Amino acid sequence: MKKLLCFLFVSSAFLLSNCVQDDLHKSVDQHRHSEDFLEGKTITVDQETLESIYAENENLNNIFKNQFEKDLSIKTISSLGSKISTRIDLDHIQVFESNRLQAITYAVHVFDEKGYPSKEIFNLMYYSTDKENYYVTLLKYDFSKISFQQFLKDPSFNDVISIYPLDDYQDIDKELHRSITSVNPIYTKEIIPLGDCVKEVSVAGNPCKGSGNPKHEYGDASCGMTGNNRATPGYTYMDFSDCGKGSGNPGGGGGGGYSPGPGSPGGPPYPGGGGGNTGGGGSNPPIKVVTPIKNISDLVKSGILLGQINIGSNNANVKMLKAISSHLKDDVKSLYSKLNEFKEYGTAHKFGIENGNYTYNPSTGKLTLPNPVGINSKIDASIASLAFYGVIHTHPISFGSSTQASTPLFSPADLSSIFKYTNKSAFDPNRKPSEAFVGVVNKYGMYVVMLPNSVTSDNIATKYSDFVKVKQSGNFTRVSSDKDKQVWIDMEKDLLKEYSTIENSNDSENIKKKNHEKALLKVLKKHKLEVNIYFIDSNEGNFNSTWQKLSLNNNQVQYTTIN
Amino acid sequence: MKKMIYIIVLLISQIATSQQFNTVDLHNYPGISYGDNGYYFKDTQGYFNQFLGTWQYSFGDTTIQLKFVKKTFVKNTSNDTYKTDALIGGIKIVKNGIELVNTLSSINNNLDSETKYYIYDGYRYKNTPDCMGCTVPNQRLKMYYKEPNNDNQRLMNMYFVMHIYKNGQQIPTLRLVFPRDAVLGDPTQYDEEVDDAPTKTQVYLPFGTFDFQKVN
Repeated sequence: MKKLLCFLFVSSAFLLSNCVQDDLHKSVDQHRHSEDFLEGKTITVDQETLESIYAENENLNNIFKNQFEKDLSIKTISSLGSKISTRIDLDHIQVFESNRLQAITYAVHVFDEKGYPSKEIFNLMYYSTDKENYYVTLLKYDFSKISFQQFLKDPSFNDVISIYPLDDYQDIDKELHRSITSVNPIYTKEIIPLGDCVKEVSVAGNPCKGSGNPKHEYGDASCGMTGNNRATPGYTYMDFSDCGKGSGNPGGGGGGGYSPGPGSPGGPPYPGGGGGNTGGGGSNPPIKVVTPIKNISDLVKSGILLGQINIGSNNANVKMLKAISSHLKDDVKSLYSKLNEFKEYGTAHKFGIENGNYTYNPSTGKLTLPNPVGINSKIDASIASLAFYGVIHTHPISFGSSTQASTPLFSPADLSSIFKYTNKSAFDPNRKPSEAFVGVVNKYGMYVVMLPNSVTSDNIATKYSDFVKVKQSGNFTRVSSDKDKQVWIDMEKDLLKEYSTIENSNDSENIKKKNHEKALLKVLKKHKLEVNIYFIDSNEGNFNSTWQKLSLNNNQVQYTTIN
Repeated sequence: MKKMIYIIVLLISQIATSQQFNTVDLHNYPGISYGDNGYYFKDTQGYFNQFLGTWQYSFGDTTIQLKFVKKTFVKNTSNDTYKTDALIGGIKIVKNGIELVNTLSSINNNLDSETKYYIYDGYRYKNTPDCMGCTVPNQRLKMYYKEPNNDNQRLMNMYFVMHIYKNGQQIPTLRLVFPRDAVLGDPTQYDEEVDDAPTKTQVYLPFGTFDFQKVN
C-alpha cells in the first residue's frame, strides 16, 4: 500500500508542481485533470458562511448541527499523564468544490499542556463525491523532517502525511483526541516557518448591480437583485503558487521525541478498533452505507488531499482584528462616545496568548494614554512600552480650535506610530510585525492600520528602510519611524492637503467618507508605504458589523469583508 | 533648406520630450487629487503674492524676520509627474542680540521639492470667525516649519498659520499663529525604547500670535 501511495504521490508530483499549487488555491480558477477530478474551485470561509452556503444540503447540515453547533473553542484531554488541547479553526475553513468531489477541510490546532503548538499540521477533512455521503478523516502532516515548501516540491517524500479515518457517528471531539493522542505530536515554541511563499489573498466582493446609488454591498438587505446581479461577499484564500519554486528553504528543523505514529498512510488502524498497530493496506472503512470513494488512495490520487492542506489562518491581521472586536469592543465604544469632546483620547492594549488565541485582562492589558501638556490634539503613545500590541485613539469631530483641524482618518503621525509596536522584546520575543495595530475611532466607525502578513522581524528594516530607523538594544534590533525621512515629510503635506479639501467640501458625509479613504489609499500608494487599512462601521455605536479591508481598484475604494 | 529641417526636427523633438500639463488652481481642484499625473497645480489667483517679500516682528528683546518667495517645481513620483507652485520661506530669530536661527538665505537654494526647504506651504485653512473676518482669497495658510540641526522626533513637521489683514492704519499686516499643537509632544522627553536622546530640546520660534510688518 505504501508503495502504491508513493507511486501516486510521485505521479501527482508533476501535477502539483505544475498546477495544484497554482490552481487549487486560486479560488476562481478553473482547471482540468486527466481524470477530470480537479475541475473546481477552492474558497476559504468561516463556519457561519459555510453553513449558509450549504443550507440546502441536508446531510452536511446534519454534520454541522451534530458536530459543530457546540463549543469547539478549546478542548483539553489527558492522555498518558499529559494534557493536550485541541481547537478546530472555525474561521478559516477550506472548501474545494467540483462536480465530482467536495472536500471541506478544517485546521485542527493542537497544543501541549504548556500551550506550545504542535509542529505538525492536523486537518479534519469531510469529503464526498456525491454531496450526500460524507467521509471524515484526520490528516496529519509532519514537517519535522522537511519543510512545507520542500514537501510541495516533492510530495513523494515519505512519512510526511498520515491519514486517520474517523467515525462520524461518534463525537468528533472524542475522535480527534483519540487519534491525536495516539500519534504523539511534536510540540514547539516556534510556529512552523511557512516562509514568504504562502500569501493570503483577499478577493473583493461585488456590490449589487441594481440601478440605485450608492451601490449596496453584500449584507445590505436593500439589494433586490438575484443571480449574477446580486451582491457577493469578499473572501480570502491561501495562495501557495510561489511555494515549491526555486531551491526552497531549509527544512523546518528537527523535532525531538518523535515516535512514529500508528500505521502508514493508507493503512491506519481504525480508531476505536483498539489500537495503534502499524497498518498494512486497509482501505478507508466506509462510514456511511454508500462508498462513493473506493479507498483513501482515490482521495490522494485526486490530488485534493495535498492541495487542501489547511494551515489555519496565517493572517495575523485578521486574528488581531478579531481580538480587537471580541476583547476591546467596550473600549472602542467608550472612545466613540467621546467624539464630541475637543480633544483626543487614547488607550494602548496588550494581550496574552493561550493555545494560539489572544487573551485579554483589562486591568493589566489596558493603558490610558494622556495628552501631552497643553496639547489636546494629540495623545502621548510613547508611555506605552513595547509589551503593547498597539493603540486606539479618537479623532474628534472638532478640536474647537482655529489652528488645529480635525481629520477623520489617519494622519502620517498615526501611520508612523505603528512601527514601534512591531518590535520583539523581552516581554514578547515572538511578536510578529503584522500583529501590531493603530486604530482611530471617528465619526464613521473605526479604522485600523496594520503591516502586511509578509512582513517579518527579519525583513522589516529593509522593506521599510525609507520610513524607519534602527536602534540596537541588547539582543534586539528595534525599528521605529524616522519622521526626519523625506517620505514622511512629503506625505504629511500630500495627505493633509487632501483631507482638508475633502473636509471643507459641501459633499455629503457618505461621499466625504469615501473620498477620505480614497485620499489615504492614494497617498499610501504614491509614497509606497505598504500597510493594510481595515474598517468597521460604528453601526450607531455598537461596532457589531464585520471588518472590511480597504484597497484601491481602478482608482475607486474597494471593500473586502474579512472573515 | 538643411538648416530649416534641422530646426523643425529640433522643435518637434522638444515638443515631444517636454511634459504637457493641464493647469488647475492649486487651492481648488475638484475631481482630482493633489499630485495627480499631468497636472500643473498653479497659484492661478495669485493668492501667494500677498505674502511675498520680507516681514519683521519686533517686541522687547526679540526680532523675527520672515521672507517668502514663490517657486515652481516639477515633481516625479514612481508613476506620476506633476507641476506645482509653492510658497517658500526662511526665518531669522534674534534674541538679546544673539542670532538663534537664520534660514533666510536657504530660499535661494535650488532644491527639487518645496518640502526640502525650512518653510513651505501646506494648504489653505477654511475661514473661521477668528480669522478677523478675512474672506476668500485672503484665507489663512498653513505653513510647514522646521528648524536646522533638528534631531528631535517631536519637533519634526511643525507648522504655523498665517494670513494678511490691514491694521487700523490700513497697513498690511502678516499675522502668524504658532500653536502648542504644532509640536508632536514635549520636546524635552523622548521614547527611550526606540529613540536616542535628542540634542535639540527647544524650538526657537516662540509659541503665540505675532503681527509682522512688511519691511521689503
